[in-house]
Amino acid sequence: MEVITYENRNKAPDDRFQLFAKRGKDRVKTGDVLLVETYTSMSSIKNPSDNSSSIKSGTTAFAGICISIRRRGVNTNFTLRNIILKVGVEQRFFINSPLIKSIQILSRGEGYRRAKLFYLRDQPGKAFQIGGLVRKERERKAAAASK
Amino acid sequence: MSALWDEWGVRHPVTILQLERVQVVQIKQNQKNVRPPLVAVQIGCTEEKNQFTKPLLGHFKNAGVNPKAKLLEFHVTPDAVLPVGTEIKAAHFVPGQYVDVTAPSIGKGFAGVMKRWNFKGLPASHGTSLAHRSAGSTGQNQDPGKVFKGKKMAGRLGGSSATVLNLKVLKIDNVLNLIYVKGGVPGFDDQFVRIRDAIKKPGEKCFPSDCIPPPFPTIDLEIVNNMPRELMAKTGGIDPFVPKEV
Repeated sequence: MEVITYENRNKAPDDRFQLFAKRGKDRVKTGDVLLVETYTSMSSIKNPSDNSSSIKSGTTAFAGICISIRRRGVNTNFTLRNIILKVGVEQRFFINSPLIKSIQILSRGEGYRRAKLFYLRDQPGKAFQIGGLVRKERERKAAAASK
Repeated sequence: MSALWDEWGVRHPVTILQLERVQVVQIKQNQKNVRPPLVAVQIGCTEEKNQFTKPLLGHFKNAGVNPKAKLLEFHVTPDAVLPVGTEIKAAHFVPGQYVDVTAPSIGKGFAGVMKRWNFKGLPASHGTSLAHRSAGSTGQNQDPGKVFKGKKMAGRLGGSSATVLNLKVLKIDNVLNLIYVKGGVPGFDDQFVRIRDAIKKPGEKCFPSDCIPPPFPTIDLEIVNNMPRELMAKTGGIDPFVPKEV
């Protein structure tokens, strides 16, 4: 099965597989804040300059705390939770989906001692102050692009 | 079960089936239980090193084949008969075709009436005593004065042959001889299953339009060796994630 998982993984040229490996210094752990950029559709990758369609841009971004990582070979997925306009939103992403553009770690979690952080749904504490991190990341990207 | 993403980024649940050294072991003509034009072709799968009886060992030696763990028969027309010893590869199936898969279902043991026949049982409270999951009444009174045959009751569930129809073949791996079939298949992991072309899609409906005619009687080994390692089914159609323009 490991051979099959390896053959069917998403062959994008980034290090998604290492990020979600079971061991490794730089792996993602529950409690880390992640920013995931997804393509809205495969057409937006193939025809990026198509102005006739009604979609404004080809990518969507979602940032949140990783509250669960489910390792199931090809089906490995993780759930991000964020509070947007006072509404809690959770989204599940499959690592090997071709619609995922990039996964970035905005900050590492500290003091989380569980594999699944479902208790954050009832006791959020200070966990969801993520807006500042996203803004900093956007400024950093803009600065890097303008250089 | 695993998953595959197609060209539009849609995720499909798949079951991975392996053709492990599938070879033709015997051809039986003029069998009693086979309708006249059809010929029974016996196929063996998975080489095994366990002890076999001498008659079985002789049977495999006759065919010139290593001892197989499982033998199954298929009834085919005379022009589809393969010579003894031919190996059937995963490329025998075309990505995009429909197949039926038969296998024994998972055994559930002696199952109660709620699991076996979807009975609703009795209320959890309101005075019900000791009968929450039972069947209740089994019939009428003095007329007919008996319980009818075939009355749904508790008993053994599972472990019998089950067929799932019209599963689409999404992908073929030529090196490991794997078939990725969309959906679930009866039974547990590492079990022997029986795959055949979809019976309810006769003729050209079974195969995608650009793969007609399919490999018949089976695919040439030379073609298989020149094929790329993985063959995906073509999805076609419109991108489902793009909103329709009104």
